[in-house]
Amino acid sequence: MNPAVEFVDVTKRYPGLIANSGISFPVFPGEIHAIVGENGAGKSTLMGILSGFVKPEEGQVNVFGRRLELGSPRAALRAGIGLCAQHFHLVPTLTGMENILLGAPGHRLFAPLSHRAQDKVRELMKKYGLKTSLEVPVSDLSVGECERIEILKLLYREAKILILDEPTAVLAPSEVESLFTVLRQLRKEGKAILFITHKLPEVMAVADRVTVLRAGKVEGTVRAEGLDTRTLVSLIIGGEPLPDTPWLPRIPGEPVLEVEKLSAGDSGHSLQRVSLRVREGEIVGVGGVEGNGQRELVAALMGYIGRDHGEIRFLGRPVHPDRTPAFRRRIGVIPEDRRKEGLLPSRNLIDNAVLGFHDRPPFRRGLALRRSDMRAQAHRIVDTFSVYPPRLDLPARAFSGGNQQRFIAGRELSRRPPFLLAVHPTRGVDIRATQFIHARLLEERARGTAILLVTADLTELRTLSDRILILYRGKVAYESSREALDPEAMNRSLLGLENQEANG
Amino acid sequence: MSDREITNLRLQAFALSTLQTVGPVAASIALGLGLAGLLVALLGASPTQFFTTLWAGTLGSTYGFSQVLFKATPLIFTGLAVALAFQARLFNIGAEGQMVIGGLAMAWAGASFPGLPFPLGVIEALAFGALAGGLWGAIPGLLKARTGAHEVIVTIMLNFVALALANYLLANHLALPETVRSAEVTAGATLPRFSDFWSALRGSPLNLALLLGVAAAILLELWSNRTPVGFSLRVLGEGPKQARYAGLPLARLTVFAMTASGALAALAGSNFILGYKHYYEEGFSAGAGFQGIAVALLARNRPIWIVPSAIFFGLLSYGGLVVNSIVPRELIDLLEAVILLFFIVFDRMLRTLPDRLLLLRARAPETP
Repeated sequence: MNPAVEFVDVTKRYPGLIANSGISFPVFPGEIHAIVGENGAGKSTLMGILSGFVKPEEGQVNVFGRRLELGSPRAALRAGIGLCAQHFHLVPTLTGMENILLGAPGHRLFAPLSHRAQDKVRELMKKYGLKTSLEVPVSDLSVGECERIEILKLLYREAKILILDEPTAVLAPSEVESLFTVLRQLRKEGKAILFITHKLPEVMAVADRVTVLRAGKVEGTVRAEGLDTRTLVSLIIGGEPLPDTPWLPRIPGEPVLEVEKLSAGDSGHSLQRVSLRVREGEIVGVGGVEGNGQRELVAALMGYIGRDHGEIRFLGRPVHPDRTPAFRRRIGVIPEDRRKEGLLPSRNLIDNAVLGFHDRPPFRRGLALRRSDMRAQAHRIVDTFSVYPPRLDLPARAFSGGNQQRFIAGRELSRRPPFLLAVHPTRGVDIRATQFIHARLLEERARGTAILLVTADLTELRTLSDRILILYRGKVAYESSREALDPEAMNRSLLGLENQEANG
Repeated sequence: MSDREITNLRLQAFALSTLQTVGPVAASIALGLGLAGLLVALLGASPTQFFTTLWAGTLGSTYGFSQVLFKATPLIFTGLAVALAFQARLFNIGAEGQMVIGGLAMAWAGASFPGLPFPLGVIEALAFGALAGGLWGAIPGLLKARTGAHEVIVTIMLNFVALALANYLLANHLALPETVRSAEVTAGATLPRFSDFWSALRGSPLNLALLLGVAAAILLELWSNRTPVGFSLRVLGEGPKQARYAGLPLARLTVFAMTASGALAALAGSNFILGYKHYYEEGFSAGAGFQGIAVALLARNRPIWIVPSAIFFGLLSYGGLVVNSIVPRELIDLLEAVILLFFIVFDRMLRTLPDRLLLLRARAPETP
């Protein structure tokens, strides 16, 4: 059988870096082909090449036996290649229907939407069970719905090869299941699906074959059937994985952070009367599908947005809304966006090592900054958190995501804060850095630090937390201790199907 | 990585940063001068004569050079004002207005306390000037911090307000009868001229304001690199999100940066008011507030480089007078603009290209 896509010796170099080196492998019609690898292994570059956004120096790509013109998104589209990007390419003010038909063949830009085209979209929606509202602006839709619109867009254009870049990162488990059902149906129709993911259980669940990339090269292509996670992990990282740090039972101490009936934020995602308490030596995990109030909770704690109602207490004392910057400077915070919040991208690690504490001893003496102490601090962080490469003179933006995250965690924990707010601490971070950060969080817990963990990753939530809260539409939809957790009820609560308040 | 490799990398980084710093400046000046020669020839004059006259009249003679420095002095202050605000990513387009308001206050204060001996009179006049300019600069700072009003719009508008206000105050309260200038400042508030000590400079208006400017540049350089507040301002300049995340007082820093910037712009008036004519008159700023933007741009907002940058612009503006007999003075204005445009283009090109090379080399595997 002719492969749907065949990479032949594809090489893409960037100055000082080989992103893809001699990549060759086929993807067949009627196959779900997973592509896995650490950050920087070359997955995105390869998918960029296939969809025409990146032009390789060497090699070729054949699509159904015909050589694909490289470096041309238009040629890729014509060849039937469709990309569903991780960050959706939708116009927020247009409806789902308008987004799907925008620029599609048979639809002119300023012409009214044709009934035939609209009927075809509705047919596709019914056929594949891709439930979503087509008549409201996509800005009002959930991420899951947006993703279904992206997929409908590809199907409407009759893409024969679908590239899905981390499609499950933002979905609730039940949504993931229905996405997989759609993928299986597409497979039955002979479409070729390239599926990029960091979540290995999903690979086992849905893929036929897996191609592992490491440092720009194909490490191997294996059948997914009968494959176990351990083997796959060792292929990905090129060695035996270290054991995970165990979670040990521990009796929590005094309350450190108390949030009482907090309401904050406007729009549909506002937080409504949320209460929680984090004690010494305890990790409280807040989960939920993205956009259900997590961001508002963090913003209210940090003082980015005002509170409509409710109280925040730190070490028994109320935190006045106008005094949140002072509160912020007594705690540690691993922010959601490391590049735009947590780091000064164009400054070196020495400046970054003291961000937020530069005006107090030991980094300040009298009126002056103490460069030598700042340098020592940067050194300590780089050493204890294994930041690579260990070069203090490089600007922060030169480091990979995993190393940036290590550095931030190192800085925030270096002052031994009584409370740590960790927001998506391992998002977009590879296996080893994730393991490392998890180990550090557990270490801090053992030391008695109170930790509030906000994460969309349910595995992370369940392995680290003493207590779990699920937010849905700004309210606590499910709450339970680690021991009493009912996974079924928790999963239902992610989509608002659970009304139970507290449990154990 | 071996020590040798690290040393090599450091050397490369140093060579690169030197190239990036000096390259665009040198290239744009060279190209600008080349183009000027061409234009002179097109106008039917001799380029050789143009350049020799320009050289002899400016850098080639002590007197000429002192005139260049005199022209450069206010530009040092306004350049520093723009650069300081820009460290916090605030575009102060209002240095002109701050200089006008500050200058008026300085002239008034310099003339109003005849009892003060030198240098107390000078200090007092400078303080009043800086205070007025600082308050004028604080307005856009406050509006930005409170309401988010963009400082570019506000400072531009306030330039007109400042000019109108100064004219009104001058005409109705401060001008000497039958004149359009303020009273002369007292002897204690006068900055001595260099020609008082050095006869070669006879007739040159160059005065001690130059030294004040250089001192301000050095102090500001140290301050912005070595103090916590300077650091905070640069964090704010890097990104308001980072500053907010770090728990820095954004509103206070914004107001502070604009106030300090306004005060510096006001001090630019000292060259004319305390050192040259000893009074305020309309147009005394000669556009120094606006030229300060170009000065800061060419110096890339580094306080210490403001001094050479201001001297260069001083050279151009005095050079215009020198060559006026050969070609129209506007040719020099054109030259100024062309050099800036070249600089912006080269700076961009050099900054994005090799920087990436260097960084990517460091982007090695995830862990050792």
